[in-house]
Amino acid sequence: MKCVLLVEDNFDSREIYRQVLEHAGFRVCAVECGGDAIRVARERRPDIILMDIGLPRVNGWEATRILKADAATRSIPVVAITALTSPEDRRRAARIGFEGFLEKPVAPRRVLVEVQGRIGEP
Amino acid sequence: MATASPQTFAHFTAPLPEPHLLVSPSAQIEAANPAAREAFGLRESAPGIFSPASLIELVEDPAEKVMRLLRSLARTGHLVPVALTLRGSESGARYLCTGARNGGARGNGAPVEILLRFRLHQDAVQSFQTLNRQVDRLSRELHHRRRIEAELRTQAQQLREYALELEVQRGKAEAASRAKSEFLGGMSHELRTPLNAIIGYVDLLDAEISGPVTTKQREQLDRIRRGARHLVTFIAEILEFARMDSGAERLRPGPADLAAVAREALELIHPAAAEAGLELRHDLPDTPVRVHTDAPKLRQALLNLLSNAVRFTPAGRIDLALSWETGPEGRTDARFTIRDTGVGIDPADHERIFEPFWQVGESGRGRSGGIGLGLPVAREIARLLGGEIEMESIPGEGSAFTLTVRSLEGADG
Repeated sequence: MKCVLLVEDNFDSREIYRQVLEHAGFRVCAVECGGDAIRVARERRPDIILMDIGLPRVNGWEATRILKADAATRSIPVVAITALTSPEDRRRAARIGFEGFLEKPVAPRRVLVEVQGRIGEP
Repeated sequence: MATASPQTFAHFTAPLPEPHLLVSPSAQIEAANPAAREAFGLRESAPGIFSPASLIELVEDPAEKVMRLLRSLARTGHLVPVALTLRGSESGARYLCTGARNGGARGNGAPVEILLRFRLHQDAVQSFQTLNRQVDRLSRELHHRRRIEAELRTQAQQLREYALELEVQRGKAEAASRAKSEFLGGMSHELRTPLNAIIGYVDLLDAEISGPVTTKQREQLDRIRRGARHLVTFIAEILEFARMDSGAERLRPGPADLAAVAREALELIHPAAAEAGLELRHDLPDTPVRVHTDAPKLRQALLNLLSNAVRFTPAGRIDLALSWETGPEGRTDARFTIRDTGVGIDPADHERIFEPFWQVGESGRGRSGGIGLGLPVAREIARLLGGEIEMESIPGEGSAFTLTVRSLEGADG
């Protein structure tokens, strides 16, 4: 079963994406901060990471920078799901190495399409 | 020397318009140029033999004055101008006489010749007067110039002060603009998080992940979703407008394919058009139309125009066409035309539709879903891209918006 690492500090967003992904048959690991995201990514090697940016302590930019600098986690696709929407934020995401960028609000269907498009069926 | 001198004299003085004489220290006339012969009525009976023979006979002034003049010349070699009154043909005419010594100095017994030059006194006076006037004028000019310089210095000082003041004001304006951007950015972030929850839960319910949904409930979910989507559009337009309005939006021109940009905009509007039951047509070339421009901004402007077309067209279709021409310097001017079969715009509103927050009539308001910033933003973008947005419309039949852009070669930054 393919695994999605969901990094999201907002309870509602986390619940919504977890439910739609699990309903589609994916295994979902949900964490609430960048530090946990890095740890879980190294331990579990998820197939894809959905990364919020505004996270407590280690934010999504920093966490992704670290994951992309680590040979063990570099190849895992990281998709931003964020309420940041400025063109500068998009350019920054591209520089850091995010594979995708979804602007909140993102319908759960859209997240499912994104995940299936990148890693296929569960 | 005494024989060579008159020849040299003749050679040099013949063409001169003023009378010139060569005389001995005893005032004997030895040579005269044509001007002198004419002015003084001199006759030359044999070479070097003149009548009258002496300068003293030529002038009305006392002989002593003439001799003093010649002695002074023989001694010092130069002469302060002396006024002489001539007899002869121009009897009574006054001349100013200047002179130069030709030959040895006093006391060594060497022969001396004296060259005399005559200018009509009136001419000389006029020259002095002219000179005086010129000096006066120059002095006035100098004075004027000094005053202007002083004025310029004052103005320069004022300008420096203005510049300083402007710099201060600009700093304040920039700080205010930054504060506004930060505020709007924060507001956008805060609103998007709960909206994400609303739209997300609606979607989950709609997908029946949490259990079956009745038809009635599905309709209500649809209404919630539409309300939330409206808010999202609202926030996006406000943010976009604030960015354009603050001038913070920098152009990022690069090589672009206009046909591809238009296709991307069409792709983005397709879901909304399909939902509204509108036909979406285009007339785009299969080959790239290469233009140096800011593609994301252009796409945004096209999208704003397209989404307006969708919002204000109850039924029918929307056409997007692209035409272009490349000038002699290889610069491309392009024109997008978006034509709809919608409600149209009253001629009285043609200019007002470009004003921020203005919306066409009550009929549009309920279903438009926008907040009246799409067109102002699109026009601002068009202008940044070196073009303009124009429209023509017949109420009840539809509207056509034209967006022009021109290649921005050399405008990178």
